[in-house]
Amino acid sequence: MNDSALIFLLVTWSVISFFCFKFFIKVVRTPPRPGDDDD
Amino acid sequence: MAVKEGWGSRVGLVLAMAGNAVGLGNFLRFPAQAAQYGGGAFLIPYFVSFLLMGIPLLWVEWAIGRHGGLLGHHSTPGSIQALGKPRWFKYLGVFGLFTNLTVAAFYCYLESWALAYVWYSVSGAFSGQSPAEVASFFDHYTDIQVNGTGMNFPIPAIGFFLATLGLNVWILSRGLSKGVEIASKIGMPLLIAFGVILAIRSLTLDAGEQGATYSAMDGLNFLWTPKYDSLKDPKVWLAAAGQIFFTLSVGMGSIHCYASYVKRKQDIALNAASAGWMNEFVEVILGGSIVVPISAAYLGLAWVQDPGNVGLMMGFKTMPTLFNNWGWLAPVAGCMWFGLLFFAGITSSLAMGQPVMAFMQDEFKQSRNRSALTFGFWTFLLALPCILFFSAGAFNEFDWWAGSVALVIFALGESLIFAYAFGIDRGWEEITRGADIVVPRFFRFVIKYVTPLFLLLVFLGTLVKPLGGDFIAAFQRLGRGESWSFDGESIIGSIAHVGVVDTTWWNGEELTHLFYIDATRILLTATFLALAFMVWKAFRKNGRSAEVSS
Repeated sequence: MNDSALIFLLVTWSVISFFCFKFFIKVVRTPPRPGDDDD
Repeated sequence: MAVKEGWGSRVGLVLAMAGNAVGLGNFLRFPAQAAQYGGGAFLIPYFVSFLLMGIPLLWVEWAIGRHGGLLGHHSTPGSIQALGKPRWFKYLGVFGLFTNLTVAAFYCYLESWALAYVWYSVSGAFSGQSPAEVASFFDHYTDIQVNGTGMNFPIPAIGFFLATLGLNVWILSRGLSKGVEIASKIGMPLLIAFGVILAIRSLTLDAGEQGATYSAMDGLNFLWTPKYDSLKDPKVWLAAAGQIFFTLSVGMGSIHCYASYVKRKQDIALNAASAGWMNEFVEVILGGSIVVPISAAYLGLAWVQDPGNVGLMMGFKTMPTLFNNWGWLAPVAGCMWFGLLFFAGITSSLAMGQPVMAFMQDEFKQSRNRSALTFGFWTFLLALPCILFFSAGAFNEFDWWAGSVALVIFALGESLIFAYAFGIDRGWEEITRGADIVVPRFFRFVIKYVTPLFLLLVFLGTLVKPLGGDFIAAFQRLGRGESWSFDGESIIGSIAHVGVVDTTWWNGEELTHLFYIDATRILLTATFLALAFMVWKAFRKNGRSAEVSS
């Protein structure tokens, strides 16, 4: 792969993976708060 | 008896929302678009669109959905009406029923191809077949008559379609937590696992290995090499915005429906962001690492760059041939490839069924089972023209009007109503209430001004798309006093039948292509009007128009 393609790929994949895992882990780990189930 | 629905877990909700977004387009449409519109540079407008249109629209739709759900509305006629007093709001919401129903009709058919091809891969049907034989297998399977406009009657395909639709109806009839949520919890991890395995295998293909003529890295190199010149081309921006639109399943009404079962103080900001970024992971990282690298390794870059090659049909006509090079792994790879397409499809089609069911449950007091059967029945009826008149163009008409145009109109309308009728202050409060992340205040401005403007440009671009999508040349021609040449794939060009040679319905011997096109459009219009009538009747009966938030 040429350098510019490799840099582009690595930066994009890193950003996407970071946010994907960061948010999903936060979803999994955040416990329900009192009153969350109130309508 | 109406049943009170709800999500069993937050992870289930996020996976269901991500499953709604992840579809066949992630693996087949995205690579085709990226390959066609500038490789790596396509990703720049793609991400700008994701941040300025996609993510804000996800938050808007989640907020509209939860707000409507608190008032007892789980489908868009009610949830859009709940944003303000003008009584026509609910008719904009009809799009959220129309799109789901009509897209489900052709989408379940697509999904059934994937299911059938899992079976054919496992049973070794493609083993030893030449590329021409595999392509011909698909034509026989769908009974496509390449040059004819006559009726297709693909018996195995109809069988697999009925099985797929039956499975959808059965899962939907089990409810959100025991049906959709469980399907998503099984389907999404399997889809990602299959995608990762196939991506690793495809990216490690080297020239001379397992029949590959070139290295798969050539494909990845082509896909990711930035061609910055393409950034100046409005066509690329329009394509990128369109891809973000379709990949996130915004403008459909399915997000509103799923979000309407979220409680008042539960988070929507983090959930929406998580589902959106998960879709991007599947699309850009997995979707971009399978089709193009494998095709480039076996068929060469010139083949990949031909816009007519990479796309939906390629997934069925070409991929089994390429897998055949993998020896004993071929049936396993075929099973994983079509399995991931099937899981991507079914998690999306379930999301299309739920809003229709919710409408029938809320407004016509149908039970869960009955509403699931209602959805199945209507989907079956609407799918018939897509199946029987596939080669006459009915399938493509459904895809274009319901799967493209209707989405843009609905999203533009809802973004304007949310920001200006409901009001950005209340809208922002709705998005951030109970949020488990800090939503940057910058997005308040984006939702009010940028997202509607973005959507307006996408709509106008679709409405008046010039010949070949070349806006620069079209404006130059306009500057020289020449007329605007509409592309056949613009809304106006499509209505005016631009590019259609035979403009009659009957050529003296048989019905023409135009007849089938117009008949499909009449059917789609009638479907929309029938749904609008049902909304009118339901709101009249239930006195719903007055039930808006204060």
